[in-house]
Amino acid sequence: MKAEEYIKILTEQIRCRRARDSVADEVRGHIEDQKEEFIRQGMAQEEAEAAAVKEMGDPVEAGSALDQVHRPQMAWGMIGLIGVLSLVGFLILYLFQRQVPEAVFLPGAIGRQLLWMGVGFGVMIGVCFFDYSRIGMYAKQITIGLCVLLLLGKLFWGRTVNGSLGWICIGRISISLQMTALLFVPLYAAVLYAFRGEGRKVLFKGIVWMLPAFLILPQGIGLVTRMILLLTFLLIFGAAVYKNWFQIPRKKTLSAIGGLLVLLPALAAFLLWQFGAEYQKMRLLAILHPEKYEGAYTIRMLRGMLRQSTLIGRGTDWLTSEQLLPASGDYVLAYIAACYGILAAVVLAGLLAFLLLHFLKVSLGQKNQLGMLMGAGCAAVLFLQFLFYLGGNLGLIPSGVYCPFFTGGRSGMLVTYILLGIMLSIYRYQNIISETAAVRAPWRIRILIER
Amino acid sequence: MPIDRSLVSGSTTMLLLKLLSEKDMYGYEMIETLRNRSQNVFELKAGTLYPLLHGLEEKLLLTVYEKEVAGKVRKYYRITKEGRKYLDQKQEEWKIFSEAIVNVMSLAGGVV
Repeated sequence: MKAEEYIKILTEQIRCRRARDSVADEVRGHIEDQKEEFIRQGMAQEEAEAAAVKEMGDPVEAGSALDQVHRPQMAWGMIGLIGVLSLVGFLILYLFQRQVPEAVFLPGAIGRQLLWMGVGFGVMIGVCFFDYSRIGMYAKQITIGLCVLLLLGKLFWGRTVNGSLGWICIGRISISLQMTALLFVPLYAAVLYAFRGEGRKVLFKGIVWMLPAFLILPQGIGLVTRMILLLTFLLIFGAAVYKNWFQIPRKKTLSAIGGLLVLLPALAAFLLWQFGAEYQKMRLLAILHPEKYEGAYTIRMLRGMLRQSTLIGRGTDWLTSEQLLPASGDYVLAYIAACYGILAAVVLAGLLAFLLLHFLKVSLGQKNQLGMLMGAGCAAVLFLQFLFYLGGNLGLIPSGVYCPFFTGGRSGMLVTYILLGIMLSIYRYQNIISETAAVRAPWRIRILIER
Repeated sequence: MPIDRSLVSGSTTMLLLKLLSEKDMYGYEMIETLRNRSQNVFELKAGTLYPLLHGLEEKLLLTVYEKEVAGKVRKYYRITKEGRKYLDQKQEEWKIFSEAIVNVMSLAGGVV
């Protein structure tokens, strides 16, 4: 048997095509080594090749054994948990909406919302089946493309919806720019992956590639989104430095990033105080002294509501048109505590935290470095968002942040499902995409095979 | 003397981890080293080796990296911390097991 024939039979046993190339390369190298050894011992070319192939053993047996190892894996448990959280979240939003029709818990008609949730779930599964390393190959192009597309959208179809700027409305579809900005997180991780080994230049490039996400954000609003994005980008950059991707002094760079992380909130507060709008200053004061300031109405009311909540809830008497919180849709978790009890809120928040932290842990443990950072970035941005949401719902900071599963709205839902899908994809392909295959361009593989 | 394969197969993982605990190696090198050290008793087939190595990599006992040596790009395997722990445990088991075999066989009629 010829070497290539052997390799063909062996790789055909591996059902996942994506895993075949790297196995073939390794086996080919092995046969060549063996063949050279036989030639040294005095065999002729062809005889040596045949003998080397014979040494390998049965290709079908080996291929089947490799097929068992290189199989895509579905994180069924996590998909199930996402499904449960989606349905529970929707049900609660629906019940709240029915209780107080004039509040905005579920924007739009119920049927359409449910349909979009199904679409979102489908998108997540689709992304999960999509080989994420392709995003890694074209990360810069996708980042620029997405940025240009959104900027054009903002220019021609930019709208103000619900008092906040920063929506793109085309026909009946409206896209929130604040939510879409989160898509830049996995892209940023993938862009950094392309800069491995580039040294000090990365300090500059790493900052420049953070900008597209901020460019598309509407002016003047979305301060919390900006904070979340900046924190996530810094964490991603820090993780890449920690993993020594760029071969720059790690201790110095990491302590600089750590310093920035600590200083940032202080700096943000200072800038707000100096240059912010009057209402932003009021908000800042309201956080510090909610009892004194008129503008702290929401926080005061929220704290009052939570103080009177019991472990097991007493029904929806907090949800009436007379004493509704402004922007009540941003305080679903607090309402759950008030209506269904603190226990229910803790369980749901706990499940969501578990889901995101589990994804973070799985991502950080990935062998493939691209998958590791993309997944960790997605998990980090969703978790930070959740922390800000939690802070808002506990009356610690002014909220307005989206929370996966518990805030209505299609843009946020779709973006969340896409980010979850990317993490599922990384889990799915963990034993298939080797580090080298992830950086190789597809056309180069094709040329190699054709030769 | 050819020996029964089932005698070896259970401990192949231990042997491979032992080799890799000394230095990083690529597949062909492992087979060669194993053959030489066992004085041709262990003839591990490549078809058995690679599924095993890939399985150990999946279990995070090994990591892989590519290195170019003399114009050839090779996949080198390196043992991880967990891999070393696993090896220690297997070695301990093996010690107990082999001592037990020796004890039984020598009592049974002084074969060993």
